[in-house]
Amino acid sequence: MAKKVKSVVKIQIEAGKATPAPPIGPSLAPHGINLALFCKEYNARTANMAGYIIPATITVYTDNSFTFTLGTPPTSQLIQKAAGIEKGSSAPNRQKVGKITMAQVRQIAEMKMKDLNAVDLEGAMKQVIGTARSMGVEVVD
Amino acid sequence: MQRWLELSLETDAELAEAISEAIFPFVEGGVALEQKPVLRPGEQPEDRWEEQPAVASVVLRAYLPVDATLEERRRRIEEALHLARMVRPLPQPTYREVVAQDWAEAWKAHFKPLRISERVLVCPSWVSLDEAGAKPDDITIVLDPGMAFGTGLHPTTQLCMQALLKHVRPGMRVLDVGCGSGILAILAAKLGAEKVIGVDTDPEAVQVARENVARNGVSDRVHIFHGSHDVAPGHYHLIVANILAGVIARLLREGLGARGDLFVFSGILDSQAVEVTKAATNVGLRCVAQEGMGDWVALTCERATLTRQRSVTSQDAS
Repeated sequence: MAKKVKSVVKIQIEAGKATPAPPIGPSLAPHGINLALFCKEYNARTANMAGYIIPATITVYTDNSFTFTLGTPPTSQLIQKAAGIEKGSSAPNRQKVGKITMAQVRQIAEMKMKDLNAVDLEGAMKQVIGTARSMGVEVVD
Repeated sequence: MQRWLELSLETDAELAEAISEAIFPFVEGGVALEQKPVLRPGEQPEDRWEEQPAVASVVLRAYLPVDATLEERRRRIEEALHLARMVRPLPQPTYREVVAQDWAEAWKAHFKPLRISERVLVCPSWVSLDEAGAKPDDITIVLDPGMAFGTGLHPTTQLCMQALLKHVRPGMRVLDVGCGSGILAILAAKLGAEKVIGVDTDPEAVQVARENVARNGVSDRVHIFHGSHDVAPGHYHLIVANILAGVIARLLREGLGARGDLFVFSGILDSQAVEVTKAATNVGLRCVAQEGMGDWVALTCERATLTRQRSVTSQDAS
């Protein structure tokens, strides 16, 4: 199958909730792909990740065929779930809203490793710690 | 009719991700990020993606329903963008209103009936043959491409179809390696092949191809399997492989060349024809024709012993 890429679109939506409504409809329909089929596939593949934002990167080829890959939830959402909080702090330096452990940081870093711009796990953990601080979430041993 | 306010903003990839996360709670459904490749002067996006270039910028799009929540959502988004601007300069977003439409069916407008030759018409399954302008003696292929490759629109599919028209004879056994939507396997059967096997490593393609085979009434002669050519044992009069140059070269090294008499290879860029010709020659094949369309070529090869036999027979005849 000779494939030449026409466009690449990443969508960030909640697992299992793809529909042809916005943002999927207006952002993908102009590229000529079968949206109903994409939604069905996405929902089937993300069925066991309910509640998380699972990005999909869709590669559309010149004949309107397409493939897509799934990413991992945003770091901030994984931190929220780990800390058991609804959202981050509006004043992260003064008002702390939760705590996560180094073990949880490592777990998140391992999960996000392939999507992060980090050379090793230690670098990925530092990024996770940075995101936690910016949300007012403390990292404890 | 439901109306939406579309927010769009072009920025770099890293910032787009951060903004996407920041505005996510205030938009409906989620966020779309369209990647724009780095282009050299005069290049089109499709010229560059082949080589997976760096992403120059990202167009972020998000949608807000036009209802009582609109102003509050927009205010929160502007706040988030204001905070982002404190870190790095950011262009102003543009807003436009879009009206809900049947986005789910819009893709069908891109796939229209296509006449491949005087005799062959490829028709999407939602268009009637009458509407498509089919003649009584046409060979028609009715397709629903799904996600699978092979709608007949691509030059390589068309090149392979032309080659099949030239070479398939009644009674032949044909193998289609990387069958995609099944379009080539179905054409081979409709041209009279006695037995056609299609294989694809993509399970989605296998399902789509099987549906298309049934739709075209050739299930008795065409069988689709999941895997590479090794799942379809035996010897074939003609093997067609419309994949990619590197994959074809590998398949030849792995023994595909010994499995048939005549071969049609495509999915090959003009600049890659030499590589595939060399791989074919190395396993005892001889390239007898090269056809091109746009940047793409299809090669027709045959076993060198077959060429020698033909030349001896023609000398005998003369």
